[in-house]
Amino acid sequence: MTHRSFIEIRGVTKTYPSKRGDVQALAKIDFSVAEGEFLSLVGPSGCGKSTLLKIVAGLLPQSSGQVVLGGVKVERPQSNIGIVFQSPVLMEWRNAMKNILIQAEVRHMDMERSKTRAQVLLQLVGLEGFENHRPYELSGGMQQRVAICRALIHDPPLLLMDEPFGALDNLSREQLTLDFQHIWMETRKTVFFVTHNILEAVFLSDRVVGMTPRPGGIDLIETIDIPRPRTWDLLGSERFGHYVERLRNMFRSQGVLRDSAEFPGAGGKWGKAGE
Amino acid sequence: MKGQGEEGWVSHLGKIGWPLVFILGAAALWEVLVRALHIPKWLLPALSVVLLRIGSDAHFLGTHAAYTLYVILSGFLLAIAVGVPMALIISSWRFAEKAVYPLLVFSQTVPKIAIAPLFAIWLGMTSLPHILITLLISFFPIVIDTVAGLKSLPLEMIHLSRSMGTTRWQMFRKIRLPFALPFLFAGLKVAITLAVVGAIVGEWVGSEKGLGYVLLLANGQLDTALAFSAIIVLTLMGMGLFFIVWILEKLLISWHVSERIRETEGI
Repeated sequence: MTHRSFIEIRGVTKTYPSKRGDVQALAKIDFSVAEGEFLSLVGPSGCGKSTLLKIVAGLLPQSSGQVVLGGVKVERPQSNIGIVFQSPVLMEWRNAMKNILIQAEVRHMDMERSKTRAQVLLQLVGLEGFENHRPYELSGGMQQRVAICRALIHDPPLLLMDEPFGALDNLSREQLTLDFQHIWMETRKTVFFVTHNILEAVFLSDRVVGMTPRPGGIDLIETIDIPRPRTWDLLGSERFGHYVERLRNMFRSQGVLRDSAEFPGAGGKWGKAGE
Repeated sequence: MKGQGEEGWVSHLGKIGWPLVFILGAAALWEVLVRALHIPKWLLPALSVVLLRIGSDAHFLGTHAAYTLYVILSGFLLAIAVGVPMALIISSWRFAEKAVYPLLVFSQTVPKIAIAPLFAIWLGMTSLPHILITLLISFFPIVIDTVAGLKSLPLEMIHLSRSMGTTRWQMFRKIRLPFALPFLFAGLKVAITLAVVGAIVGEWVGSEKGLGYVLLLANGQLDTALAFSAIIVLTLMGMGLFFIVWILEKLLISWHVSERIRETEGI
């Protein structure tokens, strides 16, 4: 990357105390994310990728090392970010528009201008006309779109996303991934995207960081050299397949993915795998 | 067309009609049985006798009902004024939870009827002991339910609000409080019914006013018709108060799941 880095993660580790002794969630992590880069963090569940995201957001203290955001050391919850979780975390008592505007209210932003901007964002995610709908009147995919708008209304330089499409059905997921690419191309924000979905990561990212199982460390960093806008037609292409295969191979070598022949009992005889 | 009309009539009956039919049936049974079996008036007066008594003693019952209503409302509002801040304190500090919770449970398990006479001694023949008993009986569900509401805010919601840089007050005003409202109302609905009980218990221990006093008076004189009159007025009052809380709930938390089922089921 030729751009200057926006997120610098330097020797970050995380250890949780527990009754059975300390549990190491993150081994030493070192990498940086360039300004305007779309970076995905892929790893098996429990590898600490969400933990790393929370450390970057300042929501969780690291055990050692440090994170620098836009030149400033992260020591407390960061408010110059937009954040999207796996669940939309909408306020049931507010309609779509007001759910987006909470961000503006809390920050004492100009409400008239924020409203106009929210309108533009809703249009961008295809939710025109749903301003006055309560969350329960929206589908899961629509709710998540509202959450994305809320994360963008204050125009933060950095977007942190923790498996944002993880709870959606496959069709909504495909569509939202496509739409989100469009949003990203319009806004060009730095995105730190956590997922366990390889296809999604390759599709959206400039770079994909593959993580090892607990304690989480970096296994490989893959630069995705495919021009945008990308479409799902890429799924059958050799180039796309190449990146996906490399990441799948990483999971195979970690033992997270196994070929059926290696699966215990698959040969028909119990205990065969153990011998 | 005809079929639809009938269905409409049946579903309409289902909403308010059936309970009404049941009540009227029970009332008729009461009237008929008392007359047919010649049950003495001091044992069980006929419903018509009770209703006529309510009519003839309307002013007497009204004055005492007004006093009891005053006690109920004062106690209930005080219970909110005490209960909600207490819930806030308990849910905000672990230390407070440990310190206050046992006291809370103690205040609830000690029989109110047993300590009511003490209040009467300490506070004299004023309305204060009555209000205090009402407060003591009704604040518990408010505290418990509000604490549950304040504590069940999802962690992601807390993380979200931190990322927005909310102040403590914003967090409370815009997120915690609205989130806890459905829980608070669940507590208020229990509390308002308990407040009615509290007011009567308070009056029984020592009062010269109120429906509780009327009940004692009627029992002492074997004036069963008057006792029933007081009970009916008290019940209607309790139902009315519950209804008001229920309406407030509907207005304030129309967004909540519990209020929504009706809409989606189309009943």
